[in-house]
Amino acid sequence: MSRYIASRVLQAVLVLVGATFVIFVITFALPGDPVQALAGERAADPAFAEAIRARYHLDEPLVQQYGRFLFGLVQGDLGQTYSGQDVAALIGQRIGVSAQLAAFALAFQIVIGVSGGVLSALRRNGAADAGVRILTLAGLSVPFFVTAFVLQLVLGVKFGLLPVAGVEGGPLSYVMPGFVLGSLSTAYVARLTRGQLVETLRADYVRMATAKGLTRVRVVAHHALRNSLIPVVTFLGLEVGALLSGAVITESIFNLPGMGQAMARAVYLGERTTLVGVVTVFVLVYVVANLVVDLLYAVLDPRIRYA
Amino acid sequence: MPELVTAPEVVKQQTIAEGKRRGHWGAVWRRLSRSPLFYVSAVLLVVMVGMALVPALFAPADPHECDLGDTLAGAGGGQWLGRDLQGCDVFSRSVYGARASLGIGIAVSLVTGALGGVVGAAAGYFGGPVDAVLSRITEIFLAIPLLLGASVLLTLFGSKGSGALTVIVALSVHGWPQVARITRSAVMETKQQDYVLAAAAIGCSRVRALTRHVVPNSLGPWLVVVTTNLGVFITYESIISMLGIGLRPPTISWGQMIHDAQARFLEAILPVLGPALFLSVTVLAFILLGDVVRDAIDPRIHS
Amino acid sequence: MRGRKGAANSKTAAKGQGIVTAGHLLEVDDLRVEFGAEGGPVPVLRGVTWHVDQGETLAVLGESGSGKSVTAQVIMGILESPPARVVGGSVRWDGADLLGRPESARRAVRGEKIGMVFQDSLSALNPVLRVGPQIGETLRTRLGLSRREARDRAVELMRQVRIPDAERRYGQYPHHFSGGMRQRAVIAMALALSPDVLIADEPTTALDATVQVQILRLLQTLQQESGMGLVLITHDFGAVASIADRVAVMYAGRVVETGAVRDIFRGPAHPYTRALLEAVPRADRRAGRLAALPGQPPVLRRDSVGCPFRFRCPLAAAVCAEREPALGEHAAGRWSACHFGKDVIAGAVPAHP
Repeated sequence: MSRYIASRVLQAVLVLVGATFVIFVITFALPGDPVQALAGERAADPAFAEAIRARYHLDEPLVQQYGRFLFGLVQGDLGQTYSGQDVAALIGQRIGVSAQLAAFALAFQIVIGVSGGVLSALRRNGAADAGVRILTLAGLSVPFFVTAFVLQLVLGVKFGLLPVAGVEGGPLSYVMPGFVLGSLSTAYVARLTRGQLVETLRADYVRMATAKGLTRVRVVAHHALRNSLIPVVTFLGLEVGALLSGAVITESIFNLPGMGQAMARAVYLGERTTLVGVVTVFVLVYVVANLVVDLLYAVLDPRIRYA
Repeated sequence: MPELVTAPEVVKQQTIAEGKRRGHWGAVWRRLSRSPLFYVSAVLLVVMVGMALVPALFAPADPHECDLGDTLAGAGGGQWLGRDLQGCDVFSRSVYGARASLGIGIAVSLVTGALGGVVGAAAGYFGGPVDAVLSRITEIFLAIPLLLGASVLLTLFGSKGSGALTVIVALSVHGWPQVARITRSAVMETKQQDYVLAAAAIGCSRVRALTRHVVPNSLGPWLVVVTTNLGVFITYESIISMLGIGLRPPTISWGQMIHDAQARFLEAILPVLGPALFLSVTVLAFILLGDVVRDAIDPRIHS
Repeated sequence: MRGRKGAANSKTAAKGQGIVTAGHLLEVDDLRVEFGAEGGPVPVLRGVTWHVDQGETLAVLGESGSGKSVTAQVIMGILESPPARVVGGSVRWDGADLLGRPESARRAVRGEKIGMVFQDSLSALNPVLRVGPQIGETLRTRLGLSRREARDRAVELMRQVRIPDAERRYGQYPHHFSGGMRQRAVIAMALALSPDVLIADEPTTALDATVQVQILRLLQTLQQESGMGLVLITHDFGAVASIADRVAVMYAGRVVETGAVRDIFRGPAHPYTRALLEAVPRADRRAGRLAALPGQPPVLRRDSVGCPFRFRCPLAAAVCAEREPALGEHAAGRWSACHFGKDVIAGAVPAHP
């Protein structure tokens, strides 16, 4: 078991380093230039430009810059924006909003997705199954930003049930964006849960559990569901990446001051330090989430634990 | 459940064993052709492809002939989906948008399918150090959220204006790892099947084992993910265009139409819903196609 | 021990008899099952009839696809439907039909009246749960034992099926067990509520030959100790000979011969049984004479007519293509579904080519 954990942690670190390096390389050529950004419209004084480039270490080779970045990263230092703001502090201010948004989205996915899938599998080929199937198809095919506009219009503007945008409404502000962000994978979770459960219900050990005289509820809850949810857990771990991507758009649409919004602005301005910082945090979240899923997987499935 | 195998199935399995490839894909095709959903998705897709190829046939108006005096007009008077901010016919523009959206979706699916397929197959088939290196690379790219990576790339090229090729490259760079992952596990699973081991045991060469046994039997999962991805990438194209970093005028795409209309959607929702409807129907058609293909390849899931 | 209602009086009447329609502990009567297939429904069981009583062992014998396991699944109510569908007949417990009873009534029978052992012990145990608690599970849910009591009883059951070091094994997962040990665990699980009848569906097929013998002996011992009825589903005539009292031979979804195991061994009443017997390797025969049954079981349709065995039968005559023979008594206690049953018993069957 400890060997399993050690190898997973090592892999996670490797992926983190690799992914940040890729981002570093890609952003190296970003058009934004701090010299231009600071000098504004005027043509920059060559001496001043030189000083700025030295300050942001832009005169160093790429690998050296990356080494500097990694060195800062382990100390929790993500560098400074071109306007002199500390990126780690900036992210610290915004991470709460993004975390709440992601939590709502994940809750929708788990609660609605899993229960929809279970209902669908247990009432296979019945009315409930058809209903869930139609809803999941709609969830998969209607792009989530369109869902966002329609919900804003109907729930927010027409009926005034939920805040249209911003975070002034407290937790209620996150209901609509959370649902929108979650809607994409909720449909996948429901489909996956249904498929897995239908398959598991056919397994010999589930039939054996029935044959030894257990109630239907116990057979499903104790014997079938746990095995069916293992792939769902894996899926949710992998989907954290999509969730973070989606958060960037959702935060823009609903005007939530989270990391996604900061990221969108950084992309727009070509502001490299923030960009690399935010993506690093995203990759870190993704890597940690998958690490947790891997360990959870070992808890759920004893065959992995000792392999 | 070998005991549940009924006599007719025994016979069927024998015929599959005898004429492995033709029998298998023949059966897949037979199951496909019996599924009503296959025809639903096929008809939808034929219409969409038709729009992409000859939009003039489907559009009642010229998408570039607009009437600014009629800005944001509602439906009616020959405009089924009203007019947009520039006073252009939303329906006609949506028809013309099919080409860019479908073209990019198909192109990205093919590129990621080929790249991910080759990387995944190589990792799964050769195993060992090859697998270790390829899998780590796959994981690294998988860890960078697709949309974020694509946005960064597009911003990079953005100063020169994003053409279709740029969008295809940006989406492909980050879209292939998922295909690679699925192909890898499919190949690994197939490789361990008894008949592949048996082929090796009777002295089949590696190349022959790969082309005759591993590839045809791993093709199913690959085909399913590539088909389903068509819808996914069409959505992604619309998202990045909606964000204003994807395709730009004069190219018409659904995402870009939504981008233009979103600022005023509280006044006029049709310019948003119009292209969204085209987009949803297309994605739905690809999802249904992916579903029926999966069911046809793996009939165990069938009810 | 719980009372075994109605079992004792029926026992004497049943022994050695082929078809008696009243008063057996567990009775399958004219059971018919179809599978929905692409080209229309396929009959899988076409009127299966057999019974078992307290203290006796019935062997249900036949090739793969003959419907042996489907019968067991119908009895337990675990047949997947669709695609399968029961289209006729009955399964009676103590005279009362189980089919069509509500799920709660079916459940009361499972485990407590009839236990079942699956063919593949690896897939019959839940891979993510520890073996011991799986064995003791019904003790807690059905009998309301405490965790501790259930544990003690489960360990006791594991000892009863000769799992060594049961205390330690209790907390292990199925993948820690060898094939034979897993099958013992599955047997312990089926025995947890001391059922009156145990159905063992090919319990030794997936095991090594030496382990097969051990498991069969174990089943025999358990049956003798508890006095339960045992239904042993198998395709292995050799296994039958050592432990069964009676045999029901199935072919193409029907019982084609039934009777006491001694009689059948001495002289089968159906050419199919005879062919099966000839295929059993025996020390007193030279290797060269081991006869394999040529051909395949037929693909049946709803409208198939005639004897389904005629394509492989050395006795096949015109009548066999016209009419499917009913299960009839050709000599005292000798039932078979063959137009020439008497001739077969008399040994007037030409040897296979």
